[in-house]
Amino acid sequence: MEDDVIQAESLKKVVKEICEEQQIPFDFIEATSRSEQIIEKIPLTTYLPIYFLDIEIKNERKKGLEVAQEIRKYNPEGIIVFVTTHAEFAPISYQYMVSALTFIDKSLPFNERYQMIEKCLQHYQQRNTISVPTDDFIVENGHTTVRIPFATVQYIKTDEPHRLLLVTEDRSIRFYGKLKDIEKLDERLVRCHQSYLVNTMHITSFNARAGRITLNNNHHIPVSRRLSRKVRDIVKG
Amino acid sequence: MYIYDFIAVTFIGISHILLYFELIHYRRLSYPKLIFLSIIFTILLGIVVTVTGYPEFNVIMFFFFLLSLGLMQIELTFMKNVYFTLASMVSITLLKIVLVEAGMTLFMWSPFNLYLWTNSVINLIVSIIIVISVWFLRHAIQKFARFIVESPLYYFTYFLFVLGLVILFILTAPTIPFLAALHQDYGQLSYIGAIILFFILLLMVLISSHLTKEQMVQEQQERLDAELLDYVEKLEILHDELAGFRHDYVNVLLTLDEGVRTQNIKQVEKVYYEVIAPTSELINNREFDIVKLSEIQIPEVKSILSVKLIEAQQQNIQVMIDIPHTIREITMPIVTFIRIISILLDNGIEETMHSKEKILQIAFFEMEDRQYFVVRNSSQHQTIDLEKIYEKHYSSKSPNRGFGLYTVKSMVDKSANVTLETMFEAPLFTQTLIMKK
Repeated sequence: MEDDVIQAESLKKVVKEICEEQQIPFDFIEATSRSEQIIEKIPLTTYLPIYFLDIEIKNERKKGLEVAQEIRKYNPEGIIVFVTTHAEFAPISYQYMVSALTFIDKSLPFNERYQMIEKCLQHYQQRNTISVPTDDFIVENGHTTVRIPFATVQYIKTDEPHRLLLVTEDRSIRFYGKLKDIEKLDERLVRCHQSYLVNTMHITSFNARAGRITLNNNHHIPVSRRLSRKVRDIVKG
Repeated sequence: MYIYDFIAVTFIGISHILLYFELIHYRRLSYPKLIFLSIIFTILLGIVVTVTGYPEFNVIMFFFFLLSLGLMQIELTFMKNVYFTLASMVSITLLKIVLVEAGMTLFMWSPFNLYLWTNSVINLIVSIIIVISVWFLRHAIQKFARFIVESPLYYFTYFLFVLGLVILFILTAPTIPFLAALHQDYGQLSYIGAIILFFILLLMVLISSHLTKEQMVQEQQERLDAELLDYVEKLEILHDELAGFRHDYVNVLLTLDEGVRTQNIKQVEKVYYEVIAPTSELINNREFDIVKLSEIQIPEVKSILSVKLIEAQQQNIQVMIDIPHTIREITMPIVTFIRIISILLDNGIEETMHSKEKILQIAFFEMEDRQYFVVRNSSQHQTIDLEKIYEKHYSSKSPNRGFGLYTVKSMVDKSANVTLETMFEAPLFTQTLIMKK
């Protein structure tokens, strides 16, 4: 959706071009400046749609965001990409509120913009061909809600009483909870130590003598003697 | 020995350990575990004293037991450990002596008959009172402990506690001949000494608790003053900038005036495009962000954000403020929230200054039942160890500045409904504070 007709048509052309070149299947490409038109067309899609939305529409500050929220109501899984004049200043709250995939800067040179759109469409293709059920790890209690793709979780440890630390490659999350409750959430999490739960997907080796697990990013996790046998059985498969 | 006595002794044991843990600020052990430990130790102590027949063990073993518990606390120096051990032993025992004495005297005045078990019952009541008061005073005790080790009263009370321990030794009715002789000669005197000592210590506690309060009020005041000064300073700089702009503006007007008067449209155009048009962006940008802060209806939060915003803009950092909806309340204690965000913002600004991109984004919004406060900044680092930055003495900048994130972490840990997410995708470092309602 874009209020500038020329920009909208040029974006449409680029998307079409990439789709044809990479043989990405699609139902239709629609360029419009009216949000109702998008909402109306949602039921017609057979593929998981991708939306390119301009944040600033005709002097209305929140238009793009409102449309995105509207879309989310009918189509929670669809991919939303925001197009804006200043991507480096794209509001963070949008990413959280409508889980936008990314922001594309209008002022970027054509080549770079082309590449970004290409990337978005590749993501679109991936999401459409491999229908991976979203494998999210969710912790929900009276004090916190944590939601993160399970595959990224490396380990969870007790930091302070009733405080847990979840670690992934690029983030750490500190939240309220007990390891005992977390342990029950997913079988792929294994208690290897009094205060550690490790995601078995990330274990590369186990050194029983040193009492530690090595993860695939070379991080070490301690293993208590009591749980050593269990961990060994799991690593052996 | 009555069952009352056993329960009383256990309660006293629990209060000793509880008081000691509060003094050294030990957090690892949950309260049920603490009670369990106390019971086991009391039974063990009872067996040792009965079997050996040396009541001295009572004091000695307890002393070393507490001392060894203190060794688990890394930040505690040995001298302080001894001090707190003494404090726990002496104060509880003295309190017990005084309360039992008072209880007995009261009982003598009362019309009831004195039975053999009276003493045990009084003992039990006293021990229950002690354990309950230690429990209710535990926060005050922590504050007191933090204060006393740095106050001039530290050495004096140290001496008093050592003296108290000696008196306790004499009072335990020891069997070692030397101590027994002392007990014989000075038993009565020690008893009176113990009571006097109790009142001196009580006086000390009252004085220092008064001083603690004063000190806290003073610290609070100093912090407020510093913040106010900071704010005024920022305002002055803004004012100066505005004054400078006004000065320029007058000059521009003069040039325009000249152009208009001579009907020189070329000159007017030139002035407009070169001088006036660019300023609109300047004015808009600044105002835009400050205006966004009006969405926050909590004055303390608004003022801290505006101070930090101005500070960042003065460092030539591009700041983006994103507050899409009105924020009316903070779902955590306001002082804690302000302390946390100040540290996050200070760190963010500091790191942005050294980065190439110089981008700082601040977002504050609500979603479902949660509030999000996000600080995202560009960083000069290629990798960041997301666990290490929260360690007590760690700092990526200079060695004596590593307390920031550690403080954030400990404040976050104390608030159950708060979640802190730290993310690094080079070059952007993001801190997200999530508060559940």
